[in-house]
Amino acid sequence: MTKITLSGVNKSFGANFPVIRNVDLTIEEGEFCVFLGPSGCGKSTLLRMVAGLESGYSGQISIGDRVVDKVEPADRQVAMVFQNYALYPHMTVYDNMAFGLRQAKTPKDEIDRRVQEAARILQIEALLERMPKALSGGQRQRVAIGRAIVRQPKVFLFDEPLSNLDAALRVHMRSEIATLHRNFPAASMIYVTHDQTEAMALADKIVLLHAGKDMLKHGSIAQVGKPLDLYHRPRNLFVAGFLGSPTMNFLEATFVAQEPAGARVVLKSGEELVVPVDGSALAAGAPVTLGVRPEHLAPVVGPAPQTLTRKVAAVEHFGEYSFVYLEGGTPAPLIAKVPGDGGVKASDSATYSAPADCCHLFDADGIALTHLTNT
Amino acid sequence: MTDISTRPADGGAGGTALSLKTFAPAIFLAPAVLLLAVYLLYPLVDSFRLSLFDWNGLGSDARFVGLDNWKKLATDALFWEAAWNNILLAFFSVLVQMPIALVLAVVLDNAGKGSRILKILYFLPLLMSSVALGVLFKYFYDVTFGPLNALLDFVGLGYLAQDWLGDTRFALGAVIAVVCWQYIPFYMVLFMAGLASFPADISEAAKLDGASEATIFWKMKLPHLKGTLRTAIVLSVIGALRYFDLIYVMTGGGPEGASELMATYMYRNVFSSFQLGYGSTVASGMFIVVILIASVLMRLSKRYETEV
Amino acid sequence: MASSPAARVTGRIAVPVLGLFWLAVTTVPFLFMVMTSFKSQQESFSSSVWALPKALDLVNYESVLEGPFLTYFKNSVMVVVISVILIMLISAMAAFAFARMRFRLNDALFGLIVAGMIVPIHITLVPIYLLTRQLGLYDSQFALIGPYVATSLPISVFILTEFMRQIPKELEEAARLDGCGPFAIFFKVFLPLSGPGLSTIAIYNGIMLWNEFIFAYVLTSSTSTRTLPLAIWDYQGQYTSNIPAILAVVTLTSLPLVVAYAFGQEKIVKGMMAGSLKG
Repeated sequence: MTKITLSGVNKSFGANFPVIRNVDLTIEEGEFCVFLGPSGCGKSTLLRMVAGLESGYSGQISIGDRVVDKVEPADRQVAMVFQNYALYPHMTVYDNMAFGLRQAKTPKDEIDRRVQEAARILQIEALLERMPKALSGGQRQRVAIGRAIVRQPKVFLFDEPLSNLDAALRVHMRSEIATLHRNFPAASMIYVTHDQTEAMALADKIVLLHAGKDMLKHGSIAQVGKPLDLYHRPRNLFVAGFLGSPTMNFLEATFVAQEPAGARVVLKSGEELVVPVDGSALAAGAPVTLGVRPEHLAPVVGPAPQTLTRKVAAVEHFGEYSFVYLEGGTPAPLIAKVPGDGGVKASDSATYSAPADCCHLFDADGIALTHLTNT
Repeated sequence: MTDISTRPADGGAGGTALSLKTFAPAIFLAPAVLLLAVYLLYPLVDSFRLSLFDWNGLGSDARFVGLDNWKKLATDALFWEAAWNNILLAFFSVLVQMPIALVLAVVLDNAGKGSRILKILYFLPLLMSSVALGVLFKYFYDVTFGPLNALLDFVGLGYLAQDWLGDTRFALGAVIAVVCWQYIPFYMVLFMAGLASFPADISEAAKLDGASEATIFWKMKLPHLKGTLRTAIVLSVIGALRYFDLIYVMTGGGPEGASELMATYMYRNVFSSFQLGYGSTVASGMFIVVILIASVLMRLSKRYETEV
Repeated sequence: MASSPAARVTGRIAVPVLGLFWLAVTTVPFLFMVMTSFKSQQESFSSSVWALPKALDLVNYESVLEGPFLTYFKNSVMVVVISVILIMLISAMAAFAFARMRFRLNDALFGLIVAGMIVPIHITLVPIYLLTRQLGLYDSQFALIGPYVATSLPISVFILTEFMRQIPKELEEAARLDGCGPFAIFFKVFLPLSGPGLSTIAIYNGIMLWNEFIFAYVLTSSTSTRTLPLAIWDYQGQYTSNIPAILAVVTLTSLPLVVAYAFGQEKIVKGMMAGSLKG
């Protein structure tokens, strides 16, 4: 059973510069877990703690049934793929992959069998005698993954493995990593990235981390959950704003009253909407933030409920869809992502519906109010 | 979730690996530290200890004389003349080497294809040992058989011919000339590296602004070399203060101490007059002079660095 | 427009004139040395110094090589090779500790060792002479190895520490994950990757020690133990006024480095410039 458990994990640089706060986390056997977050949120530090490369933390980390805080990296049955690959430049591809096994005094024919097997899986058999500097970025990436595979680890650790590749290759390698996960169903994977697309595409579970004031207030973890849970039911403003592109629209609003269908709010512009959340804890007149994703704003013609009417500031066309920038968003501009060319041009007046299911409401502390449907 | 654990930080290393890790730096440093302690630190301290004795180096008749040797050193005109010669050597090394090296660096910078081969040939003297150069130039300067006087004679300047190394007026200068001959290419290569690091786009931008090559050189490239020049001066001065081999071979410090340096004076006291005690005092005095001048120089060059 | 025609013409003349002038300044002493070494003693007295030798007379070289010249040569090779190997190993070990390990005295000790670069070796001469006699190493080739290695360490440690700081941290971490302890990381990853840094210090120290005079002069006394720079010194005493023979010795002692230089000029120039890190 290779469940990975982190409990009460904290780390600071110096006395008062915390990097990781109050992390309690469980990663199940065979799970693909992505640590996602902006730079400086400590996601790589957390990964390196699991690897055993980071010392000086409090709390406890276990892999399987074993507490590994005092276990050497090589003895943790983990393998790591580094951002810059970290291939040994003075060794051939074969030797790079065999190095760890040789250190572990694995029999020669066993080493050869495993290296050949990994090379076959990754289709790098033809490169085995090359030196790393003679390889392309994608090939190096494969070798780095191969070096991890031959160790037959219980946990694969990936530290931003695709960030040094160009865009097209990144998409390709992403699907290869997904395949790798299917080929090693028993191994758990922890994958660090700042790219939400990678996280959404690969993860069984996303651990979204935040930094700065949010971390100090709420701990390092902003939210843990399945990708679509984080997308549809963000727990707070940070999560709502981090996932999705373009980012969720936020509108300042005032709570009016709790109705059976949900909380009625009024926007600065005077429009009233009902959001299907439990606002019973709020007093009338309490400030709230309404959130609605650009892709959920649908153009409507004629009178309809739950609508926003604004003057168009600008339109960006991408063929398949368009971004319509609307005036009068507070505080940031309001964006609607609409199919085709959007049917409007600058300085037109346009109306968009905000379907109740797709609206989110956050209290003054930025915490999302619970949706009525799934409580 | 709100309380912060205050358990002492402790992760990663542990168990048997801990002891190995704790001692690993010591194991890696041991050979270097041991050798430096035996062959650099201990001799340094021992030299100061010996400076308090009167001893001819034989047997055990070393006599403790306290600071007598140091009092003698303070009023020893020969030592201070030697120190002054070191300072002259340093001063003229810088004065002669820097401009010539800079001119040559600029010449090679503009010499195109030939610059590589010229640089390689210029650099040859730096491969020679000081003893080889000392002996070579002893004959080069020879009053009757030396090619230098013959050369002067040939170009009609025969009246300038001198007993270069045998004349108190010329001996030090003759030696300085050899030092410059050997080391100018070193500083030239240093300056060439400095010039090469001048960003090409800046000189292109300046050309578009109508600046001439000369303006670019004086107003931009030369200021760019300031740091390199400072390094070169520090190196040249510190080198000059520690000079020994070449002078010892060429003149032995003579004639009449005209080219005596601190190091040759120390050597003569120890290995010719067998005054190990006083010789150690001279060595320690030399150490103090070198450290003083070096630290003043580095302090100065640092100060300029922060001003730039 | 970039430069006036007059300035361009001056440049076109000045560059080759100055370039060739310094070439002459550099080569004239060497020319004198090589030419004279082929003359007989008689000829060097009678003809002009700048006259070409009458014939390629190898008599001086023959007489030098008949003597103990090859012993000096062998001693030099032995002392320099052993010293340089030790310097590379010992300074690489220290550099690895300074560049890659965290321990309390790291910065202080590194500063102290690097400060060793400005210590004039002359202050160590008398104590090392006495120490060498006490150790019973006086007048043996091994007397030189200790001082040679120790005096070369400060600059070598400095250069290699800078070099190893450039090696990506991830390689060390990958090696730890592959099961390497500090020694395996050093010998299997850092040492092989420090090749360029090691070759720089090997070239720099190799040339410095090949030409070293004062320690060799003070710590050895017999022909059987002395190194090449002493060959010149000893032959000078032996041949006294036979200038051509002495210059043949000088030429012969300079030859090994000149030959090496012919094979790797750029590397040697670069290695020698490592000396500019001093101070």
